[in-house]
Amino acid sequence: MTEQPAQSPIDDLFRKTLENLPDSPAESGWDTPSERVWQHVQSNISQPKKGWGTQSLVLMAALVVTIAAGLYWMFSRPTETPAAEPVVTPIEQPVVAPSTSSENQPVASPKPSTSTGSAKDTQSKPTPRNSTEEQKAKPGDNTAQPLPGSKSTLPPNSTEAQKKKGEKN
Amino acid sequence: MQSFSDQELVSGVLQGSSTHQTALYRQFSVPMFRVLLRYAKDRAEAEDMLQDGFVRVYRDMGQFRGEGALGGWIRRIMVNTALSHLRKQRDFVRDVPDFNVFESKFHTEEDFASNLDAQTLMSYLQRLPPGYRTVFNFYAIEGFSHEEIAEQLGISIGTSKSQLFKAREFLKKILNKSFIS
Repeated sequence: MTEQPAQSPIDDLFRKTLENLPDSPAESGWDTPSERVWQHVQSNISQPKKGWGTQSLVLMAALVVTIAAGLYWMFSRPTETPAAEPVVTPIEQPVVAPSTSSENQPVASPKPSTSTGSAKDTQSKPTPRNSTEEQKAKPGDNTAQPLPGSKSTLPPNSTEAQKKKGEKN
Repeated sequence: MQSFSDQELVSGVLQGSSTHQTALYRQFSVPMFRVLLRYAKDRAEAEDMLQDGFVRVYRDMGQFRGEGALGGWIRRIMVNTALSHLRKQRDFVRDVPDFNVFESKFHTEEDFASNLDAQTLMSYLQRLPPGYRTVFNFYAIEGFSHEEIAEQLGISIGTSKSQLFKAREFLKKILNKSFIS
C-alpha cells in the first residue's frame, strides 16, 4: 500500500461488518459453500500424475507388437518371381558364300520346318512364333531376307544388281 | 474435525495426505468463501472461484515459504483467482449510468427493511456492477490504493477513482432507502 486510503463512513460500515464475522459459519448457511465444491476440488487434485501410466505403457507395447508383426509378415512372405520368359535360341544364319557363278541363283533358303517333323525335334528346338526362320519358310518367298548386321544381298533382278553386273562386265 | 497447525497442514498436503487436504479445506473454505462472495455477483460464481482457488492452493503449496500466516497466503490466491474470473468478463470495469435498472433488482419492502447484517450488506455489494464492486472491495475493504488497483485491474487511476465514487453513490442510495423504510 503506497498510501492510506481515505475511508468514508460507508467504507467503514462494509469493512467492519464483513471483516469481523465470527469464525463459525452462519446458521442460515449463506457463507458456507456447497459440498459440490469440495468434490470438484478433490477430483482435480487426485488426478493421476502426468507421465507414463500403466495404461499408456500397455498401449505402447500393443503398438510395438503390431508394428513388429506387420513388418515380419511383410518381409517373410515369398517374393513373386517374374514369369519365365521363353528361351530364344539363336538362329543359325546360312552363310552365303560369295560366288560369281551363283549370283543369279536364288539364295538357297533353309529347309522349312514342317509339321511332319518329329515331336522330339520340335521340343528340342523350340521356335518362337514369327521368328526369322518361320518367315523364311513361307512358300513362294524364296529370297533370303538380310539380317541386321549381315552383308546385304541384292535381289537378282533389281536395277542395282543389273548395274553391278554391267560394271563387272 | 482434527485441527492441525499451518506447518502440519502444509507438510501433510505436500506429502499427498488426504486427511490434511480435507482438514485444510474444512479450515479455510468458509472464510475464503466470505471473501469471494464480495467479488462475485452471486453464490454460484463465488463457488466457482472457490473451487479454482483451492485447486491453485493445493497445486502451489510448495511455494508457501512459511513467512506469514497460511490463511493470508491462501487469501491472496483467492483474490487473484477472483480477479482472473472477473477479467474474463468483457469490459467488466465500465460505467452503469442508469441507476433505475440497477435499482429495479431490489424487492424494496423486504430488502430495505432488513437490519443490515453481514448477509444483507453482502447482497447489496453483489448487486453492484462488477467494476464498481471490485474497486470498492479493493479500496474500502482490502485497503489498496488507487495506484495499486489501477495496476491490478489494468485501468487508469482516474477510472479507479471514478468507479469507487459511483460505487459509494449507489450504496448510499440503497442504504438511505433502507434506513427510510
